[in-house]
Amino acid sequence: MGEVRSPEYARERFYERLRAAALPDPLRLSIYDSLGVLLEDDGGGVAPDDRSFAALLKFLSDHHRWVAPGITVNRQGAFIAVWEIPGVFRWSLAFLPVGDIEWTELQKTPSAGVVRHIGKCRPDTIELPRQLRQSILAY
Amino acid sequence: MKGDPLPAEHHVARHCRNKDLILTNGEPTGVSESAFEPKPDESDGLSANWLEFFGDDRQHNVAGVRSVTKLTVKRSHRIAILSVGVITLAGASANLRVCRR
Repeated sequence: MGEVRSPEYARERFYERLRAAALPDPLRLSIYDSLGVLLEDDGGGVAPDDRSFAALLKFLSDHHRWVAPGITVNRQGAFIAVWEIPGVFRWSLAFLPVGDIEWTELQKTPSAGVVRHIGKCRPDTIELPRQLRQSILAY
Repeated sequence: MKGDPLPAEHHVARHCRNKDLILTNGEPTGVSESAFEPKPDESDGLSANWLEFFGDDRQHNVAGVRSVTKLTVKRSHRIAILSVGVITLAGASANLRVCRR
């Protein structure tokens, strides 16, 4: 028989993972504050994926010197981390439950409007876009 | 008139759920692509509210948008306000248009 778990239990699993992650305190606090909003039932029927969250935390702990990303959840429940130069460039990483990352780059250009590039890779092969190299380090 | 494009300097508002928002430190700092995925009743185009229809004052026209929404709104939901000119520029390659209905 399948195990029935309450929403409170599921929610606590996310917070347990966050507490256990090897993150600097400012980064952990940033994720904590956003997680509270994302775990609220918003009526859209999308449940955040626990394995995707674990993959996000692993990635952030491997890049703990980076500034805190914006985070969101897509329609499949996968967590997405976003770093951007507002109005100019956005780099989004979707953490798939199987461990891969789907990345999207949006670049605003004067001639062609917004140019979009997408790709998929393993977390250890991701390449930081040159547009963010000057701004992504927190310390 | 119905079908006319909106002026580039005008704005539209779209209702966003929690998970349509990009959150930094728990505060909305952007809108994700999911906010612009068609809902089940949007097969012929995305719906948004034309802000300037309710006048030029921002506080007043946002209140106007809130008064006509038929969606179930929760405390954590937000209204994203977007420039028609920016939408048109961003969607130029797909011939995206922002029109009256």
